Amino acid sequence: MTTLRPFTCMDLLKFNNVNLDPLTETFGLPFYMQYLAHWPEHFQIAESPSGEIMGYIMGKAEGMGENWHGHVTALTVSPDYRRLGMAATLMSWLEEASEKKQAYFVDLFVRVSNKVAIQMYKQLGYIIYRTVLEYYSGDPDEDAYDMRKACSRDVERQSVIPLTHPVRPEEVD
Amino acid sequence: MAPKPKLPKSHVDNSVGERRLRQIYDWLDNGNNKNALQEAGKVLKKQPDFLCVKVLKALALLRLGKEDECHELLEAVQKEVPIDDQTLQAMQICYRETQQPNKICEMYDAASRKDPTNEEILTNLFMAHVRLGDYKQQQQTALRLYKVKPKNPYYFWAVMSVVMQAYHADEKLARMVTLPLAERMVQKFIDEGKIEAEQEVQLYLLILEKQEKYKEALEVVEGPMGERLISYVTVPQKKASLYVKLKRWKDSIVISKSHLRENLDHWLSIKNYLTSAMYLMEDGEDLTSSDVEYVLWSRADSSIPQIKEFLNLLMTEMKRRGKTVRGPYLAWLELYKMVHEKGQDADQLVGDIIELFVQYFRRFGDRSCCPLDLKQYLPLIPVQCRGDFIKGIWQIVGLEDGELPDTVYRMQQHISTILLSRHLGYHESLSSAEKLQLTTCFLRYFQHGMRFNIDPLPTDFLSNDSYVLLMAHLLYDVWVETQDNSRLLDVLLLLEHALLMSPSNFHFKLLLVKCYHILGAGAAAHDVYETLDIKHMQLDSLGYIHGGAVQATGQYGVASSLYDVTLRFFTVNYKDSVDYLSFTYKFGSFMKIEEFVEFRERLSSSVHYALVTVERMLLDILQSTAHPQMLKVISQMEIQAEKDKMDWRRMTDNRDLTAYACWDPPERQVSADLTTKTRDADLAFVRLRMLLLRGLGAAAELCSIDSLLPPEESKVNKSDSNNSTVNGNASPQHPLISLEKVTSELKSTLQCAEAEAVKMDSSKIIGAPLPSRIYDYLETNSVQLQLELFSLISTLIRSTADEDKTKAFTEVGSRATSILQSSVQSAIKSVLEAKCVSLNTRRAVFERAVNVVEMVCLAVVLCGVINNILESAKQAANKKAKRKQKAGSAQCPEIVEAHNKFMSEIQAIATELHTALGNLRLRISVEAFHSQAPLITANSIKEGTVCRVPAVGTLPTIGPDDISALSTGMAQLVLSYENRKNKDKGYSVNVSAKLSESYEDSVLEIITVLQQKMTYLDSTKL
Repeated sequence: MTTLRPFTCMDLLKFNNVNLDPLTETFGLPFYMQYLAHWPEHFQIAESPSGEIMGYIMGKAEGMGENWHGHVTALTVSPDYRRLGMAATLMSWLEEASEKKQAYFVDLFVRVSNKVAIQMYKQLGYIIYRTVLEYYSGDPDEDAYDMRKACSRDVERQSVIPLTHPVRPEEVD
Repeated sequence: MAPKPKLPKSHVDNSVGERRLRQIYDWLDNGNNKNALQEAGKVLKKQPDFLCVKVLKALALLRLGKEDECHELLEAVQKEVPIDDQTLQAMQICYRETQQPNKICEMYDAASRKDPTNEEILTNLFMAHVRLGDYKQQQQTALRLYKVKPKNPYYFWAVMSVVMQAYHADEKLARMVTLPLAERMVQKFIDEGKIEAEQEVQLYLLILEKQEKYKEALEVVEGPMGERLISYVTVPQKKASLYVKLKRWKDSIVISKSHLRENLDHWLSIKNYLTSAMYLMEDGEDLTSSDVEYVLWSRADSSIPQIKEFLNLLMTEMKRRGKTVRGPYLAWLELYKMVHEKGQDADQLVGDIIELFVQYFRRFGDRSCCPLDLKQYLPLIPVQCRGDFIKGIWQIVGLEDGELPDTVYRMQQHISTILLSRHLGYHESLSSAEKLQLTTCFLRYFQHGMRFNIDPLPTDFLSNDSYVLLMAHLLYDVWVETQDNSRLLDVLLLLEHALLMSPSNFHFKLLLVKCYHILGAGAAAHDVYETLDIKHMQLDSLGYIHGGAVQATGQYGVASSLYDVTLRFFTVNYKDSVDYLSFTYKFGSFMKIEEFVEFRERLSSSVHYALVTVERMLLDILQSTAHPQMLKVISQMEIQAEKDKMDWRRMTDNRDLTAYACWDPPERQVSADLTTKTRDADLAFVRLRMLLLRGLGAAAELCSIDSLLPPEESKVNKSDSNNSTVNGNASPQHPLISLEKVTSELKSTLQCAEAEAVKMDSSKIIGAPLPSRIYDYLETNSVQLQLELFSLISTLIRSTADEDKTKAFTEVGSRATSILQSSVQSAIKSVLEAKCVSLNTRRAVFERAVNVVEMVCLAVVLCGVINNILESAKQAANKKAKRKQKAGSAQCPEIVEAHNKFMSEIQAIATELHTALGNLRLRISVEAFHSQAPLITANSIKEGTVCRVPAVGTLPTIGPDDISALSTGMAQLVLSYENRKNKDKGYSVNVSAKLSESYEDSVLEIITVLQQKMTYLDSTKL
């Protein structure tokens, strides 16, 4: 079901069926609280009719001037609720919230190896804006794609002209 | 994660002082505290009044472990009441590191008096109050701020501080006084036209809703102020929920319909719509004739036919839009449920229940959400119709008896069918033999299903994984029924193999942890546990799957490190989270403040947290290797007898008991009753353990004070100069009094615990936590021993005449030894020896061993204390004798003798236990796990064996030869899979080796602890 509600702290104690998934990072408490305190409307959870957590999206609004944009920090759907378009629903929430905040675009980072996710984001209208070298630490470090979708405020669609050269993580603001 | 000290940018000028200040900061940032100290010293020689440098010197001292010097210096600086931001910031860092948030308040308070119009100081003072949760002070400071700088946020900080006072006040006061005050404060601003920001409107709504003033809230949302709610994407939802609360059913229906028009799958709107329409119907309003102008999308439906008409409209609309979503399908079931719950004939009014299920299944039967969605509606099917239901969905799957699915789509429908029939209890009625047959049957489906996983990602579940879980649950069922542990070994084998193919399936891992624990293999469980990568909040919510059990198997090392990680979460993460509380004010996220406060309370009062804290401390004490070390360990713990007055009723249960996937019928699910009972058992255990810890703390304290005399005999205003109490409060209680208080509290708590601790058999419930440690703890009589040992110490100190003393000491001592003796002997006879044979009772063997070894440890530790007391009494007596030439008060040799006898008895018991554990170790080291009746016996899996879902009809007829060897089958599968994937394993599946290693490891650790204590005892002899 696509009813979303704001994510609350209490959900942190119940989201195990989503977060035990290996691709879903469990962050420290302060990280979640920072998002909840600063961008509560960008942190939404999808609950099933039976009350189970189907997935959630965590994001923020940041940047100066024409770089003012919505950012997707985490998007995850429980293995039990995949293939239902949950991710698209969650993403469209964040896009709408970013529209209301008059952002120029929405962006996100994804592992270059995560083909499924990349494909999905492409279907949702995101383009690969640039490659960020060795963004994910690990053995070996992995590159990230910085994917973007323009909001209606960016009439000229300046924000989604792909860069031709990869960048280093420290060059990403 | 305290913010690193950084120079505020505004202060960067090029004066010499600033440059040197920066240098000191750099040293401190890099952890080079010595250089920082030196540098600070140099600067202070030239500029002795440079306050900030003084503070940084204090910080360097603190980080070098010179806490006292640090405090001295800080106090000196504080006396001068600094008001410059630099110094204040630096002091704040110091006070944070010394965990004195109240000092931060005092500091900013003093500064704000000296410089009352300084906005920055006041802001910091406000945030300091936020950290302490002092809402009244928050309110006052915010208003002071507003006076200095009339900015809206400050005013609303004050309003929010009032709201928070209501949160902690009793309800009546909150309703009558506090909330109305907050409302008036906002009203004043509205009247003056000063409302600026969205957050302010949000806060106003919060205040109104708290008072249940929904009408007023709705007026805000619908009025001009509502326009400010821009980022508040849920405004329409808010409106709808207010309509429902105001029972404005017509409006609620219409608004829900308009949401549904936009989003057919909007479940909340479906629920709102149905609820409202049902109520409207109850009100008996017939709007059919009068409201003809309403088209279907905006008509306020008030009868079942109208609702059905609308639900049909949703279905048609969905088909027209070409996107199938679950909402409209489930809406029918929801409507059926509501009508049924009203006691009406839902079949007649809504439609055939089976048909409604089938309708959903046809669309979503292949999704893993299917059984989860339908679960809550299954009870609507009358028992006699269950067969029809299964038949109905089975027809959609369309497989012949024994036919294997040709597509992944069909396979997933098949899985849903099986899960639903299991949930309806179809597997319950099968015999154990039939369950095993069914397991084999599912193995074939699983094997067959491998073909549908082409190039699977290691991070995804396999599409056929559910068969594995089903097999595991069936085998587990058989184990519960027959207690044949071979079945549990099969579960382990099955899951370990399956994990190789589907390494990210955490359901496999969770079940493995549980099954290894059931078999007492703590180390093996830990290996799997680690692959779950459980961290942060999960340590609290999932701690129950592993924490207590791993310690009960004698895996002390693993347990301590697990406890350490857990405690780090609670202390560090928790402490940092207070900063985010202040952020909520900064960003005006008022909606989150109460939530944050509540969540922090929930974490700090977590039962698991209390359990881990006390166990970690007890482990340290019990594992100390000699008396002086033990004293040192305890002295560092800050066990404060009086401070431990916990409000047990407010302790919270943060366990996530829904983590285990389970398709069992409702009576085999984790119930509210089970949740409460297991929580209560844990709580009772924590209480007993906490008292033990306090008792040990008091006993240890007796070793380090001058006057052993019972307090009423010692002088009233004794100065307690050497007293080890840390908190420096007025007059700390004499440790003997503490010890005696603890003893009596322990006694009464034990009585309660014994009366309440009724062990419930929850082995049938997959998701149930493992039985609490309290049961074996009580059975071993550990607490009785503790009571005797504590009273032995108090007897020793209390009784005056030598003769009485020795007599009383001997009496209590022999009571203690006889408890220990009988506990150890019964443990050896009826547990260590008798229960070692079967793997089913292996866990009980280790748990008992751990408990009796702990009892010996306690006896030894307290022997050390008695020794210490006797020794200092002897010294004191000698001194006295020398001075006063009085022979009578010399240490009487009888008591020493009695004590030596006591110790040698304990030594003897320890030796006996040691021998028994040695034997246990021998036995364990030679055993091998050829399960007595290796499961499923035949050679291989034959193609084409007839398999049917028993729910549909009779069981497949499989002769004993056809029953394939599960392990062989799984191994083959893995092999072919591995070949195909050309990967190396990296994860061993040798279950029996894992068990053996784990057992050996456990028994060795237990023996080591006992041995240490025997040496400890040797070293304490007088």
